[in-house]
Amino acid sequence: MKQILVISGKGGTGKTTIAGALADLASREKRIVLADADVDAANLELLLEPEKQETFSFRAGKTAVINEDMCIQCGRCEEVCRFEAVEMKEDGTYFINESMCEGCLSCVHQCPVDSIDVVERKSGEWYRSITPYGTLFHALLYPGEENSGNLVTQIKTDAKKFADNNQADLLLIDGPPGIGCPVTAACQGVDSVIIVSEPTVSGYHDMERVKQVTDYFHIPSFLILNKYDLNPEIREKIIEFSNITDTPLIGEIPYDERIMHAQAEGKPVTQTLDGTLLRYFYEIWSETKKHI
Amino acid sequence: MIITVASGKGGTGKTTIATNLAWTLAQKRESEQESPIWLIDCDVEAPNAALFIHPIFEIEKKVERQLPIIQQDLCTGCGVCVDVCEYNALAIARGKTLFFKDLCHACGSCVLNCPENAIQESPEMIGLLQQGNRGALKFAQGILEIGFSSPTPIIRDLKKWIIPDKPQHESTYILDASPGTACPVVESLRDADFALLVTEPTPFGLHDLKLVAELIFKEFQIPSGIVINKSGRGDEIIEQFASEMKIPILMRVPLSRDIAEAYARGDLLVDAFPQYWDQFIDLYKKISEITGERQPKQ
Repeated sequence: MKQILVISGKGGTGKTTIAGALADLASREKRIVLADADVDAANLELLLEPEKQETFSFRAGKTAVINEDMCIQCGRCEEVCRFEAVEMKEDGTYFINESMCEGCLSCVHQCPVDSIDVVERKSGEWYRSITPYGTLFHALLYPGEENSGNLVTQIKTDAKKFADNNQADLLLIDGPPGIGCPVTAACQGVDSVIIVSEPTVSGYHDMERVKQVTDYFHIPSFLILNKYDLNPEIREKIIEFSNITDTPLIGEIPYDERIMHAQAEGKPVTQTLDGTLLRYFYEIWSETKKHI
Repeated sequence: MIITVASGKGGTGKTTIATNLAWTLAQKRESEQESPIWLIDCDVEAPNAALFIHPIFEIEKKVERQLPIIQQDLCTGCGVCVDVCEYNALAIARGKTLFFKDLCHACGSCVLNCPENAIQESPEMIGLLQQGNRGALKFAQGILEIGFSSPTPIIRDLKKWIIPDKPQHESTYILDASPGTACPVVESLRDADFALLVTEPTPFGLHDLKLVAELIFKEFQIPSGIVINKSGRGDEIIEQFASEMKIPILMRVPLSRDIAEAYARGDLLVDAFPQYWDQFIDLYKKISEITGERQPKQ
C-alpha cells in the first residue's frame, strides 16, 4: 500500500480539485482509501458525497483554569507562562485567557498551592465515511482551535490502519496549505508527495518553500502545474526547477473557467468535464499510477 | 485601525486585496500628507505580499525560542520531563532522554521540573521578521524557518514589533492572514477592528467563508465585510449567506483571465487596471463607515 500526499504551500492552487479527480480515476482501477488532512478548511468532502459511518470526538486541547478560592495570588503562574496567557483582573486576582493558553500545564506543575485545574476541551470531530470512491477519513477542527497537527495525525493513523486492514493499494491524502504543523504532520510516513503549483510569482515562491519541507523529511516529490498557460516565463522557470531539483513534472492543466465552474456540481471534475479537458486529468493519473 | 484580511480557503485573493488596498491608501495619504499605512504579511508559512509590493527592507529581527538541551551526564533517566511534556517532545530510551525539536512548544516546563537540573536552554531561530517600505507604504513580514511547525509565535512577535500597544487613532494597519481558521488566523485577528473576508463563488469558497465567519462571531465580535473575488457565475450562493448573516458585500472583482495573468506576473491590480483605484478607495471608505472611524477626505 502506498501513501500519496497532495500539497502546495500556496492555497487555492487546485489541491482538492486534483485530489478529487485522482480519487475518481484511481477508484475505477484500484482499491483506495482517502483522507482529508486540511482539517481547518476541509473541502474534499464537498466533492465526494460522503455518508458518515462513525463520528469521533477530538480532545487534544487542554486548558489550565485557576481555582479562585484556592489561589493565593503569588504570581508564580504568570512568571512561568511563556504564552502570556495569565492575566490579572482589576481586583488583583489572576485568570487564564483560554485563547492564549497552549495547554503546556507548566503553571499547573509550578503552582505552590495546587490551585490550577486542567480542563480537557473538545476541539473538533473526525469521521469515517463511505463515498462512491472509497472510504474517506475527514475531520472538522472547530474554528479557532489549536492542535491541527494532532488531528491530522489522528485521521492519518486511522486511515492507514483501515487501508492496511482492507488491503488497499493506495491511501490518497489531500493536504493543507502552508508549511506549518498540519503539513509537517501530514508528511509523516508518506511514500511520495505531489506538489501542485501554478505559474504565478506566489505559486513559484511557495513551491520552493514546500519543496524544502519535503526535502527536510526526505520524501520524493512530484509536480503538477495547474493553469500552466497563464504565464510562459514562470512556467519555464518551474520546469527548470523541476529538472534541477529532481522533482518530475507529472502533469499540467490549462487555465479554463469551465474547471472552476465544474466544482459547483459537488462532484470530482472528472465526472462532469468534457473530453478536451478530461485528458489532462487522465494523463496525471496514468503518471501517478507509475509510482504506486 | 487594524484591518485583518482573512478567507478560510486559500487562493481566494487575500493577498491581492490586502496589497492593493494598502498600496492605494498609501498613495492617497501621501498626497494628502496624512499618517502612513502599514501592510503586515502575517502568512508566515507562505508570505507572498512582498512579491507584489517589492519593498526595500531596512531592519531585520530574529524570532528565537528557548529550546531545551539535556545534559546527559547529569540526566538520571528518571522521566519526570517526559511526564510533564504535553507535546510528546521528550522520550526515554535506554536510560537516556531524547528530544524531538519538531514537537517542542518551548514552554520551559521540563527545565522547571527536572529534579537534577540537567536541562538547560539555548535560543534557536524559528523565524525572521523584516520591515521596510516602498515609497509611502510601510511594510513588514514574518518568515517561518523550514522545519519548524509553529507559525503563531512569529505572528505574535511580528505584530508586537510593528503595532504599538495603544495604536494611534489615525494609523491604519492592514494584516494579510494565512488560510484556514486555526491558531495562526486567530493570532492575526486578535485586536483587529475589522475583518475583511475574501471569498470566491464556489462551494469551497462558501464552506470556508462560513467557518471563518463563525470564528469571528464566536471569538471576536468585530464587524466584517465580504469581497467576492473571481465574481460572476455562482455569486448568489455567497449573496444568500451574506444576507442571512447580515455581512455586507463591499466589493467584487470579476473572474477574468486578464486579471489572473496580471496576478501571475506579480502586477498589482491597480497598476494593471487603473479603474480599480477608485474601487479600493471606496472599499476603505465603506470599512471606515462601518467601524465608525474618521472617513478619508474626499
